[in-house]
Amino acid sequence: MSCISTEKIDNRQLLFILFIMRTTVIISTLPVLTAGNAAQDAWASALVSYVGSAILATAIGALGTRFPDLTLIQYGQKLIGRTPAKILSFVYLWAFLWVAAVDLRIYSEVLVTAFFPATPLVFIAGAMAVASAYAAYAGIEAIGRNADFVFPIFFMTILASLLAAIPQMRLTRLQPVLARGLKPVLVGSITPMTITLQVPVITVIAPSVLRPKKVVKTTIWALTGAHLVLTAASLATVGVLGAKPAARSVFPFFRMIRAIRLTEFLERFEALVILPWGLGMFIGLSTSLYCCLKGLSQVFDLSDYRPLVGPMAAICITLSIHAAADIFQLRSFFRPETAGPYAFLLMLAPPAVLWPAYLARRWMRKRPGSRKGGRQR
Amino acid sequence: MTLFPLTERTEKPDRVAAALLEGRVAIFTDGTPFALIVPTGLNALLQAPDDYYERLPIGSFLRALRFFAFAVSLILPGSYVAVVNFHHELLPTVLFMRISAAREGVPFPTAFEVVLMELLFELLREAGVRLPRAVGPAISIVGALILGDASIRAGIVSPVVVIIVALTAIASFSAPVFSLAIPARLLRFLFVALGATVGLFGIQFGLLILLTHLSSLRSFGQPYLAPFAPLIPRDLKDTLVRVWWWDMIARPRLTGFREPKRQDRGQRPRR
Repeated sequence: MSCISTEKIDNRQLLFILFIMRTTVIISTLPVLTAGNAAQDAWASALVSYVGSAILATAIGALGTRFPDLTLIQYGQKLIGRTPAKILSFVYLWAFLWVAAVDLRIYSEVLVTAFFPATPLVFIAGAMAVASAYAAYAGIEAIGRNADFVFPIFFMTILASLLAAIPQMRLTRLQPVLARGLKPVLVGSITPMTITLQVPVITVIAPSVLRPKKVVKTTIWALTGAHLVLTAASLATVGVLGAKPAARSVFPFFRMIRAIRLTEFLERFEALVILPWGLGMFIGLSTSLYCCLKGLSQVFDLSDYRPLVGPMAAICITLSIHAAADIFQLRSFFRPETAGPYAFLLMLAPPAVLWPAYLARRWMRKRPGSRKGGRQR
Repeated sequence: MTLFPLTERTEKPDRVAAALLEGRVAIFTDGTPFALIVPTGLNALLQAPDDYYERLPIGSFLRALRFFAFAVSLILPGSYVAVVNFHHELLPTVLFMRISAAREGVPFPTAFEVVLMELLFELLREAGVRLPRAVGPAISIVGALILGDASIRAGIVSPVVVIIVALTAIASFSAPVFSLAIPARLLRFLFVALGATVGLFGIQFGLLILLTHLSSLRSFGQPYLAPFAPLIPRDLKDTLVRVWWWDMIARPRLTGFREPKRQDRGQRPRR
């Protein structure tokens, strides 16, 4: 299995992966608008949530830079012992699977509502999961290259749709600015922060990155890009649709694009936006699946994760269908008061256990008379 | 296993010379006029000598056109079937009315129509290749003029489908290396099937699988989609467009690493 362990991706590819992963979910559902009640101040929520997400990403990724060639599952075993670490790893493995399932659900809901009202959800979810499972099977290198290929298309499309929105934006719809104080803005920023639940993938990917010590920096750059896009998207959506109708719709960004009409010929081009967006969703899904599989194989000391791909894809499809009865249930789950505690608990539990263990270990080693000197890896 | 060519077969000395100068390897064997160039990739297979012989804007335009043509030869029939069956709203209303008016009275579903015409065309092409040169043109006359025209008049296929199939065929002829046109010829049918069952979502599904396949493919160790994926910004100077000769300072990173410098800086001619 030497070819698997030597798979390497560039930090740039990781940046693209994280940017695409985050942007796809965040702009399709625009949680700043739909989850809280920040209304016309959604853009401010987007900026606030950037700060929060960056802090969370640092908390998640920083310990990994101390162990550049180990995944969280492996360095956890060094820090708190085999069995506890394996049990703890399941928190992140569940997070990866859950993120993949929710991504899949959102994607299939978008397609079903927009294009295929008569098609069963499971069909679209299944096709997408099969494609992603194939990418996960091909390995992180292939996913990284896919991201390289998809990124320009994805980015250009989003940029173009935001630019196309400019002629129809009414800036008066963004007023009054911060009329109800800061509280709605802060509450509205919680849900986008919960989507940082995608970021723990770096704890599994980091050893496969060329410069693992810079992973946190790469992540922060990806978050910066994604939140700039989120800010622009919420400004454009509110500017075109108005705060109240936008907050009521299920997928405000796509509704905004549907409302754009440049000329006689260029109307209703949302299908052309949804295609690249689907490519982006594919990157996110395959990365989550890959990390879940890779992590699982390390927990059970398997030499290869590939035999698990099929079953995991099946579990992911099932979970995505049964996670919520309909999109409104999923949406109400993403309210700050439910999604907040859930996601923060999942995200922060492993670092909250491993950081004290790491610090205690270092302190023990520095103390004179400790058993071993030198750095343990 | 792959449909895509992992070696490049050529008879042209200039192609071989250019490949050697990029640090690639040419394999000669007894008893064949062809040389095999390795490693190769999608980008190398879409380059043609004329891109370099013509002036820069023309060469770049031809190159970009060829990339576009490759995409067309792969997904145009599938996308047509998908749009006509599922996504009417993508077409301007007048155009869609024209298409449905032309389809009036055609007995087959669109997908069947497209597959029928594609198969017919593949047959004509194969027959034209196998026949002696003196009789070859007769096939194109029988095929294009008689069969195409008569099938429209007989109401078996709609004229739009003939246009689509002809466009696809022309696009697939523009591939500079024949072996690259073949996978597109085969995959086209898959894309028609996907487009006919789930519309553009099916096309996207096919493209995702194809993309993953191509990015995990290597030709003698070199990633097939380089320099796009993995992205090698320096090597993008000779891809979709080509830059000026005096700006191509470095050889491709993956093959020319032994002697990365192609020429000195500042070779730009002064006025």
